[in-house]
Amino acid sequence: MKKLALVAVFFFQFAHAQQQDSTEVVSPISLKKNEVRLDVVSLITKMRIHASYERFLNKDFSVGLSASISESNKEKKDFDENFDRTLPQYEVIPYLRYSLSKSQVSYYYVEAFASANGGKYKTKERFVEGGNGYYQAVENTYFDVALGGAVGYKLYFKDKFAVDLFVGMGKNLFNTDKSPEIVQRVGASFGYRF
Amino acid sequence: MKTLRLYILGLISSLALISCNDDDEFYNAVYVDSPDLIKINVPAGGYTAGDNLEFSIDFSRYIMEPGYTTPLDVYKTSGATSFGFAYYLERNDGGTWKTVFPNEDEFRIGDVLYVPATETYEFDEAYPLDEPGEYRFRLEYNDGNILKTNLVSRNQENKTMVSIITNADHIDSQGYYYFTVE
Repeated sequence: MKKLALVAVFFFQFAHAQQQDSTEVVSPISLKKNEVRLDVVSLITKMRIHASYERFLNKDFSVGLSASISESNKEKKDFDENFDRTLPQYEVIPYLRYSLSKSQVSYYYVEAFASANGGKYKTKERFVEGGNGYYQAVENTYFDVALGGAVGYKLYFKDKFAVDLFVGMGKNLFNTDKSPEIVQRVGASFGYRF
Repeated sequence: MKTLRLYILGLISSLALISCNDDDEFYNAVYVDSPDLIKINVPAGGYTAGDNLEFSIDFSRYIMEPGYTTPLDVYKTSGATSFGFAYYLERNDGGTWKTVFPNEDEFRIGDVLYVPATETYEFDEAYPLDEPGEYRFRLEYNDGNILKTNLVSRNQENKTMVSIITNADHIDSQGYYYFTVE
């Protein structure tokens, strides 16, 4: 039994030494703690300005803040012509990310986020004029807060240029009779880490 | 594993480009029950070849709306100069029901037109019955109710859509009006 214990100790020491001897490669990226990004695809396809800042806390966790303003003529037209009930206009999104991969140059991640979002909405209301009723869409503004999650993929080039793809969704919590029920969290951003 | 990651990357990229509108439910529509608006003219002596199947629709722009004491002005609400609906007419051909419309069209669209002078919407159809045989006529089914149909406003773009749920007279429990042409 004593011999077996010694063998176990030596084995553990050997394994531990191996682990210490295999030098962990630290990417230069890990020394850069900040990143700014712009969602270029949303800007081109939906006229939505979506900018983000991310702070890397350690190799696993990061926090960030996104903000977006929508200036889509198509969405505005659909809203004005009563095809869409809501017109989301702005959003502020604090988020927390957790890396699923060991690599810091390319990795998948999961994200939890909150979204303070607002815009316009319409309701159908009945009015009475001259003893007869009629319906008309009436416009108002809304504000709501959503919680949600997303998954994504990050890839770096030259240890500083980033491509960030993510998809997810959240649910508005407080004014769903006015705000959209679902908030989408979809992006294809390009950024710079420093 | 690398292939799987590429697929996932492709999926995320594709989803990133999809704009999913979670607000698809059409809110700006009014559904009003107004029974017995469609009248089938049943000739006393029956039909003979060369006669017409006649049916008509006639209603005021002001129709009673269940739950309200004031009538609904469907013209002011929708701005529509017509309401559309669909109907079917088939003839029994050796045990198989076949459409009688040209080009083997399964159904026809009717337009109930607004008449400003009388402030009413009106439609009159007289479809020729050239061949003898057994026929059946029905309207497009309302969702979930085969005895009713929808007259749908062709409303202006920024107006509220009006869908009038109504029925025809002389139809059976399956929504058909059967008749024979001698």
